[in-house]
Amino acid sequence: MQEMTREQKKRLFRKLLWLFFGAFLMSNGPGLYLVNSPRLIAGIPILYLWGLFWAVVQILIIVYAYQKLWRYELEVEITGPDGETGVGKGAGR
Amino acid sequence: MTPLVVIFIYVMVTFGIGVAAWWRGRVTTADFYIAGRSQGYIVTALAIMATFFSSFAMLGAPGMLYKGGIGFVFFMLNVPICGVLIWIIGKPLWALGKRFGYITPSDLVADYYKSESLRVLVSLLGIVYVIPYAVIQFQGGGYLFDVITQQSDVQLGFFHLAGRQVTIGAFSTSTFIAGAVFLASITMIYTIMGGMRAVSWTNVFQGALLVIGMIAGGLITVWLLGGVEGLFGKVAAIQSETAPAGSFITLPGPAGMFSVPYIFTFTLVASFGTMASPSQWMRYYSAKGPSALRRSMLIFAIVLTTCYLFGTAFIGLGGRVLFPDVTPDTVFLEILHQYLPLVLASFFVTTIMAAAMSTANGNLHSLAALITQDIYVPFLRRGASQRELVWIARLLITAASVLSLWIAIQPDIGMIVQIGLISMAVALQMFPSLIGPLWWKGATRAGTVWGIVLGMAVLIVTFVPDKFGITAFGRSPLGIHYGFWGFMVNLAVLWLVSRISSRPEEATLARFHQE
Repeated sequence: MQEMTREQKKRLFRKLLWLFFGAFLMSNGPGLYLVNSPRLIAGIPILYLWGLFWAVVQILIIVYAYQKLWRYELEVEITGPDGETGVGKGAGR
Repeated sequence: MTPLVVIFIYVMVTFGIGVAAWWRGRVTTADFYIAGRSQGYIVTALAIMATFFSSFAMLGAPGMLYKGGIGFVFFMLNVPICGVLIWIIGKPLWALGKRFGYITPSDLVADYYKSESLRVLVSLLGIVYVIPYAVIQFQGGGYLFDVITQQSDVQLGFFHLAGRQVTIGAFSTSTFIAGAVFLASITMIYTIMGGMRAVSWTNVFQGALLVIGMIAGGLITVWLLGGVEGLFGKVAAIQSETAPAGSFITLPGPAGMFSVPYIFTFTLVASFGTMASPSQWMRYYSAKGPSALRRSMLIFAIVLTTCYLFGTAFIGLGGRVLFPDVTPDTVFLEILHQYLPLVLASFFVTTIMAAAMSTANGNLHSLAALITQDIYVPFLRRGASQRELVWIARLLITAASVLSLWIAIQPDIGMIVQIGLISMAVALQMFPSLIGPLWWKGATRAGTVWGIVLGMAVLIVTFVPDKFGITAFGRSPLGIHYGFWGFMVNLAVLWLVSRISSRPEEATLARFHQE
């Protein structure tokens, strides 16, 4: 698989951020008006299922961003004022 | 007697971990406050989780579901946002902390804006955040003892514990106060001894316990009510004179607490406020590196969302069916007390204690850092030795514990979640001070100061309008959470004032905004 450029990563990050915000609007914003009824589906309130569904969507976006953008991000070595270096493990491929 | 034995074992294990951390530590401020920036991803993830999950989640959140219905489920969706924030703000904060040796949030803000007044302002916000948050943990300890000692009858010399009363010689008090004092004392002692290392190590143990407690608590409630369908069917059927059937599974709920604007805004207040709070901020500093934060983000978002949706939600809603008339914050405890064998119930009680203690210790610890590093050193004793500072921090943890405890045992101070949300609203006022150092070169010192001052003013007015003689609106006007009003004003003022005031020096911008 080809490594994404910095620009591509930025674009994907923005897209995922908007997707996440959209999912949040559906789960905790105006989207709630669509399902605000005492209906039960398979014995479970539709509002609960709605919350559960969007929570899964939000987590999937996070997992996707982790895999595509952050998991293999190169970590620069940082030297503190005390001379000690700090670096995350698992540097880039 | 059984609950006390199980709690004793839990306390001894926690205490042992605290002592081990103290043994490993060094008497330096960097070690005491941020564990020498050495914590790997398991410690970081569980410490962030344990600090996040508190009496608020174990007792307060079920209480809100019990009182206000399904609307509070959506509050729980602040967790994925918090997960993202661990990486989005945690990573740059870790890097800046490492590069410039920051210990407290104010160190970073004061360095960027070259402003000691901003240092004090951000510190004060942090201090105001910490106290109510510690209060609700001790309040949780009180509820806990109050419920579990109902069946106990212990006579040990001068110590008598039964019938919601503790008697030691001539001294007598309620089990609520005894529980709060006990929880506060234990937490205080090991935090004083081992600093951040003790806080984090004990949090690993406590974090694992509370995850087990929440999930198992939810499953037990489902089982008691005949499965998920049984639980929700019974919740849907609840009705009273003021609440028709179905009101517990619709918005705004039986008490009218959860309108859509309120859900939307209080979720944002909780997520951004909590993740910008001093205790979490210092956890970002104490991570070994970005990979620890990256993995913490993932663990946090997945595990805690699961705990909330399949644990807390079932406990609170199911608890309403099982106990129609108890103090909302004690509903989980009532389930444990009434339906589980004593040994098992006692184990679950320790998971609630773990949640309360792990949050209280992190917050008390960060409060000590804020006062010593941001007020004591710059304004009172510039040349204080490392040893002196660690001892000052220990004194401050003691004082803050006593103050929080005193507030916690006052009668009728409010529901756990309501107090917690005040804390989060205050912490949210710190968030705009991050915008300059992390993202926007145009943010200025004047914009940040005036943003915080006016944001706090609006927060207070929209929280208690009646105290200012305002009758045009009640708390949280237009159904928008008071913390969100304050935050919006803070952001608007930051933007406006920054446009007409001077930016930080070019050298500072270059230092912070390296590409």
